[in-house]
Amino acid sequence: MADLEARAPSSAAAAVAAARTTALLAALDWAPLFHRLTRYAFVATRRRDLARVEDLAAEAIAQVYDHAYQAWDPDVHPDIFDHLVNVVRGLISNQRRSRGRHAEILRAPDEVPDAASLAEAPDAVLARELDARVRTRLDAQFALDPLALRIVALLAEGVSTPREQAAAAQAPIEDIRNARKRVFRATHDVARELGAWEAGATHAA
Amino acid sequence: MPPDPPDPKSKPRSAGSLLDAIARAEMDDAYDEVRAQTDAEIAQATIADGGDPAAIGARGAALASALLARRQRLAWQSDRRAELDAARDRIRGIGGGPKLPRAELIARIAAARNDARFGAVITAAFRKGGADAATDDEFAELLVEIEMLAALKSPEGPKNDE
Repeated sequence: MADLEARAPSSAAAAVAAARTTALLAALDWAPLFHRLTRYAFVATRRRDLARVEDLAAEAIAQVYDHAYQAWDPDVHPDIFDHLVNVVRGLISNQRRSRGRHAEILRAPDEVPDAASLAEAPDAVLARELDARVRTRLDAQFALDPLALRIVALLAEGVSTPREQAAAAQAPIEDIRNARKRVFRATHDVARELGAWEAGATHAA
Repeated sequence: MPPDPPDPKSKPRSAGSLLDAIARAEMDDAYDEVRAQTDAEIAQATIADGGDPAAIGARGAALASALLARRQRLAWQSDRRAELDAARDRIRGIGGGPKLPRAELIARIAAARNDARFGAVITAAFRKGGADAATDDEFAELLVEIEMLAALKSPEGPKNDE
């Protein structure tokens, strides 16, 4: 019995960690932090609706304080802003995913899915079709903007950071950043048109 | 201007959904942008977008204050959850070891019989037939029960008084 009890993880340690987190949360200056987080959500959602992004920031903070959610680990994210940003990103992605799932307008009424498509999970088929349509539209839109076109291709290949893209495209990083903004803007328009992300105001990221 | 050298820390990610990749890239850029701004610059930007930085900050501070009070009030839930998780971890794996010889099973049960926590369980188990009539499997089952009780009643286990 002794060996059994010896290998038991310490719930006392977990309680101490929770108390430590509480103390750290209590010591934070939340006004500028909340404002910065709201700003992040606003920028990440294409500056559409201040009130709604404030709700996202509030939800992220509520999760950080709630014992039932994954705790903020100061050893992993010494700056809680990074943890909160991850929570906000998750919230934005979840919103988008749930909306995208209902984008039934993607398939034209006269389109008949092939056997391979039918064998796949519906979500996977939908995502593949959606990607193909988005890619087609972005390619057409950027026919006269080769750098933006290259950014789209690089993102599709998993080359995601401005530095990586600047190296791959042999272009100045500022040009890359500006081209990315054009791509983001166009993607929102296309996604909205396809009903992939949202029909209304927020959500974007 | 020549391009910056590639970041040696970055690894190529596998290509997934294009929309997801674009969304992630946009959120990454938003993070870089906001991270690089001072509080004053963020306030200016918020004003330019029609917001009230002071009011937003005040609402955030008030929310955090209320959430802190709630967290402190419900700290016991976290404690109980940690205890429950610890007990589950202890119970997981009980009975999964190699099969013990009969003599070893009997020796362990005899040792547990002297422990006030398990005496009643062992006595009840052998009320009919006595220990001599028990099979090895019955001994093994009893030992598992005892180990589970030990896990639940150990100092790290859930408290029964709440």
